[in-house]
Amino acid sequence: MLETQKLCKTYGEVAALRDLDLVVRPGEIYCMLGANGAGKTTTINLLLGFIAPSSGSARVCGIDVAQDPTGARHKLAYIPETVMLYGALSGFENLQYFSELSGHRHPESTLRECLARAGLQASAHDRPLKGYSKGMRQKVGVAIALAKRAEALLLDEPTSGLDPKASNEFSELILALARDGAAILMATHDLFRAKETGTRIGIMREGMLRAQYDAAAISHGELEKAYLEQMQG
Amino acid sequence: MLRREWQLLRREGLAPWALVALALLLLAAALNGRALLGAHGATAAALQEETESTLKALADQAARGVPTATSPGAVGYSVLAEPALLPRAPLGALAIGQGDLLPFHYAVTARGPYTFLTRTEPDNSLRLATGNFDAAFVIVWLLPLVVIALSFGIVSAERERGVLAIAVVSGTSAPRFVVGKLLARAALVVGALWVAIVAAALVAGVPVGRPEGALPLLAWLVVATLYAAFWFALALWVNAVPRSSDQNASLLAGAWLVLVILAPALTNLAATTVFAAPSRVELTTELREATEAADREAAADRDQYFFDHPEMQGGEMDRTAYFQSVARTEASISKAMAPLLERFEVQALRQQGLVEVLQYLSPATLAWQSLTALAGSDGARHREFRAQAVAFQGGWSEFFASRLMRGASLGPADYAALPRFRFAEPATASVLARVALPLAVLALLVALLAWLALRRLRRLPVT
Repeated sequence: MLETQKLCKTYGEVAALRDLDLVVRPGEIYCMLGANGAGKTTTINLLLGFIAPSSGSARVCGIDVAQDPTGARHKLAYIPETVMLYGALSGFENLQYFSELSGHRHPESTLRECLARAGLQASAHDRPLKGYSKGMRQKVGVAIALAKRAEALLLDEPTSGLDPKASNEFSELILALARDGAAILMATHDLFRAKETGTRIGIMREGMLRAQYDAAAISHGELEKAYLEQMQG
Repeated sequence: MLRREWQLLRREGLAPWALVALALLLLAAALNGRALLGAHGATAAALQEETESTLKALADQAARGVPTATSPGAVGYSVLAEPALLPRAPLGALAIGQGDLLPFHYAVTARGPYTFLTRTEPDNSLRLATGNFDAAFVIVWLLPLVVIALSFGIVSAERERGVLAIAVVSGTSAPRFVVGKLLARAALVVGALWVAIVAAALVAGVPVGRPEGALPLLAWLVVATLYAAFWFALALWVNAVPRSSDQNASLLAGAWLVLVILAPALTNLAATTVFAAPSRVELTTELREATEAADREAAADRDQYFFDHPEMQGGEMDRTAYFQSVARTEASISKAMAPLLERFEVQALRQQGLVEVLQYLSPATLAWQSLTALAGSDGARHREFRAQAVAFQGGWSEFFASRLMRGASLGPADYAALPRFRFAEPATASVLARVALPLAVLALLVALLAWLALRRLRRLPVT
């Protein structure tokens, strides 16, 4: 579970995030919408423990990130906008590398299964990552999360730059992870993908969560209209 | 981590080529050093052979009463010279150092030590920039470039490709991840370096199976390791501030330029400017004046001789009297030259003293001074050689002068009793003691940089 209480982050006079109260439960996909600078990435960085909060708290599976960042990260997986990893290594070798960093020494069959579950074709497993498309690299990122058996996932605009087919495949993967019980927070600009993938949708502006919707209860048109209204202030 | 890092470096392609190139350069440098010392060795052997043959011929002639061979003046001042040879040091071929600047032999005659008049230099760290292609040059000059190529983006590149963030989320800390990678790379470089240095030592003919070769070689490995560690620590420190890989590469290249090229050049310039030694022109002028003054004295001597021996007027002085006159002339020149030579020696020592202080400004100079000291090609060993040669010259001169002055003749027994020059090598322990402080300072620098880098790394943003 991902949880924030009155979470704030300020840089001097500028408030990057203000009083964020958020709960993402196991099996839930929370899609966070907002323009650049709205506070989406700041929220993710606070949950990852990459930056310290100015006030409030962030918890991952009950662990306070500020107090025990390593313990919190143990439960987490993170997929940035662009998963670069090591271009000279294959998808399989990258997965092996980062699994070992997590302290897991999985047998080869398990790792290949993770890659397969992430949707990476077997013929690509042993090819250097530098020849992968962005979608394929994102799949390796998902495979890393699978191998880690992460209980919570933080995704920072993961579908940005993906073609519709790859984007759709990625959504399917995320849904599968949620069905397995992961709590997922996804920052995105993609309203359509948020509606299709998310359980709940939040709209942020100027560091504040302005509105939240149940994805099943709002249509694409209503979401777009609500988003534009929030953006116009 | 080591296996993974090697796998990564191997796939990226640069590291294997860089390490192979470094190893090949070390081997080529060792061959070059061996060739140069081989030429020295051939010259030394020829000189020794010629001296032995001359000595044998003179002893035979003395036994037969040939005047030239029985005259201590003729033999000591004109015929015989003992070559004072600086033997090849065990690791000499790995670091030529001052070896091709300073003479490795002096021709010792009964004439004064001023005949050794050659320009002595402080340990010339400028040689780093212009220097010989030897193994020390490859280590001090080129090794940092390999280290920089493998570490300039040790943090920045990982951040730029988003790996650092994923690695940290995977459960490691940023300092641990980065230091682990750096140590793995350092282990690869140092491992390759050790293998290449030992191979270069074998190629150069270093007696690695004997203590006089093995001990300095071991110390060489320590110096090379500490020097490589310095550059890795510097790369880590530079990387511990959030900057782009391009900026880090530029900073490290600048550091290389300053520490490897400029600092040694400025050190040398400072030493020769602050403690300027008498110039060669000054030495030559003084020598000419002293010689002319001595010649005038000798002419007065001869006038006195013919005044005392009017029966010899219009003839020649006898051999003994002539060489006694020569001996007095030589003593006069030596006496006249002594203050200048002393000034020269004092300035040379002051220059060396300043270089030994200023070497701490650059790890490159520290490493180079240590490598050449261990290889026996630094100024200190040469100064010891010169001092022993000068002392030997005194004894050699006395041998002939004492016989000449009392009018004695040389016989086969005198030739058998002639003093011979054997260079007394400074003890290995004293050489090791001399490099201990520079190495300790180098180790301290490494520790300091690593500590500063780790402090910064804890606060480093991972994205």
